Amino acid sequence: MFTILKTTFIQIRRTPYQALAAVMALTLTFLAATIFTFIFFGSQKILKYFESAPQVIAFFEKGEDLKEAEIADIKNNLEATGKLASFKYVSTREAEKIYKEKNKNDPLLLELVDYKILPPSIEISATQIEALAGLKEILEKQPKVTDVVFYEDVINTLSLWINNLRLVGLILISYLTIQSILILVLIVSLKILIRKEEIEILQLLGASFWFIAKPFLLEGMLYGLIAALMSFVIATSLLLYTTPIILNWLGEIPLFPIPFFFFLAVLLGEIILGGTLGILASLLGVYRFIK
Amino acid sequence: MIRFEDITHQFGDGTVALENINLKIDKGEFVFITGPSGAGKTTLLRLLIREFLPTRGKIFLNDLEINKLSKKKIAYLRRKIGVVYQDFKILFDRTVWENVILALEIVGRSKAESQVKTQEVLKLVGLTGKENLFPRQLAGGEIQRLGLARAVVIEPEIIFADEPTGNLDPQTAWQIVELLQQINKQEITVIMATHNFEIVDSLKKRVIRLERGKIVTDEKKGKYKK
Repeated sequence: MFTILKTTFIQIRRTPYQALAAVMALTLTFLAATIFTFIFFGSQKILKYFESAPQVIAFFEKGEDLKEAEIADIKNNLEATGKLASFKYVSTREAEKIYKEKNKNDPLLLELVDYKILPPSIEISATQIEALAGLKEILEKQPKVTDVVFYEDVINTLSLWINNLRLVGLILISYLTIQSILILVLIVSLKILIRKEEIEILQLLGASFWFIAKPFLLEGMLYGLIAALMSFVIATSLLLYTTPIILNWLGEIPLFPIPFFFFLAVLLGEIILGGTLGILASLLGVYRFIK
Repeated sequence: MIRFEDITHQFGDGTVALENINLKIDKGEFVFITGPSGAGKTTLLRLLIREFLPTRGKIFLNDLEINKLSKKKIAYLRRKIGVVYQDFKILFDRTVWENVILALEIVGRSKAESQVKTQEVLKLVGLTGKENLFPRQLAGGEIQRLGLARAVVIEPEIIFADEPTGNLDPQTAWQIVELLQQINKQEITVIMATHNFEIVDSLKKRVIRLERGKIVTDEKKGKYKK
C-alpha cells in the first residue's frame, strides 16, 4: 500500500499542472452541486413553511370583534365541506399584539396604531391545495367580510420556480460532471502516455492490470476528495457570509439555524461522491489506454 | 519443460520470422540460441512470453499451452520467466534497490521477504553497496547485472537472456555468463541468445543455431558456427 501511495505522489509531483487542472475542474462541479444542494433543501423548507401557513385569510370590519356565535357559524360552514385543515380567529386585541411584536423596534409606528383600527381575521388552511378555492368562496359570502387574501397562487408560483431551479441545477451539474469526467480521462491518458515505456516494462515483468492501474485510481480518488473538500469549504463560507442578506430577504420564514448534521451529511456525501467520481473517471481512462 | 511444436510466425509485412520450429528444452538445461541478426532469436523469446501469438503451431511451458492463455493469465506466465534484455529495460527513475524489489512487489511477496530476497540477489550479482544508486550512475555491465538480479529475484523457472553481453566488453561479458552458470546450477533453465562465439565455444553447452527463421543445427555440446 505504501509503495502505491508513494508512486501516486511521485506521479502527481511530476505533473503538477495536470493535477491542478483536474482538481479545479472537479471543484467547480462539486461547488455547483453543493450550492444547488443548499438551494434545494432551503427551498424545500420554504415551500413547507408556505404549505403549512394559513392559506386563506378573511378580514372583517376594523375595530369590531365577531361574536362567538358568528365565529362558530363560519367554522361550521367551512367544516361542512370536509376540506378544512385548520381554523383560527384572530381578534382585534390579538392583532394589536402581533402588530406591536412585529414593529417593536419602531416606536413611531407603535404610537399610531391600536386595536380600534385593526381588523379581526379568520385564518384557514385546507387539507388539499385544490380545495382552497371552494373554501375561499364560502368565506367571501360571510357577513362583515371586507377582504379575502388567497395564497394558493403564491404556493403554485413558488413550486414552479423551485422545480425550474432544480431542473436548471440538475442540467448544470450533469454537464459539469460529464466535463469533469472527460478532463480526468484526458489527464489520466496523458499520464499513461508519459509512462508508456514504464508501463510496458511492468507488463513484461508480469504486472497485472490492477497493479499498474492502482496508482492512477488512487490519484483520481485524491483529486475527487480534494475537490469535494474545497467546494464544501467555499460553499459553506459563502452561505455563512450571505446569511444576514438571506435572513433579511426571508423575513419571518424560519430557514435558520441550519442543523450541524445537515452540513455533516453534505460533507460526507460529497466526500463519498468525490472519491467515487475520481476513481470511476480514472478507471475509464486507464481501461481505455492500458488495455 | 518448454516445447515449440511446428511454430511459424509471419509478421504483418510478410516477413517470416520463424518457420516450422520444433524444439524441446528440458528443466535445468543451459541452451545457447545463436544465429545472425534477424534469424528469429528474439522472436522465440517474444512468443514464449506471449507478446504475440504465433501464426501457426503451439508452445508449451510444462503442460500449459501458452497460445491458449487468456489475457489475464499472461501476467502469471511472465512471472515464471525471468528475462534479461539486451537493451536492459530498466526503470531509470528508480534506484537499483527499487528496480529489483519491484519484481517482488509485482508477484505479491511480503515486504519483509522482499527485502531479504533483494539483498541476497544483489549480493549474488555483485551490486552490494550500490542499492541507492540510479541506473545512470552504473556502468554498462552493472546495469546488465541489475537486469539479471531483477530477473532472478522472483525465482523463475526459466531465465531467457536475450543477447545480454551484446553491449559489453569481453571481461564484463564473462562476468554475466558466469552468473548465468551459477544460476543454472540452481536447476533454473537458462536460455541465452547470443552472437558471442567465444562464450559459446568455451562453455560446450547445447547450441541451437537459427538461420532465416529455421533451426539449422541443434547440438548437445555445440559450437558457434560463423
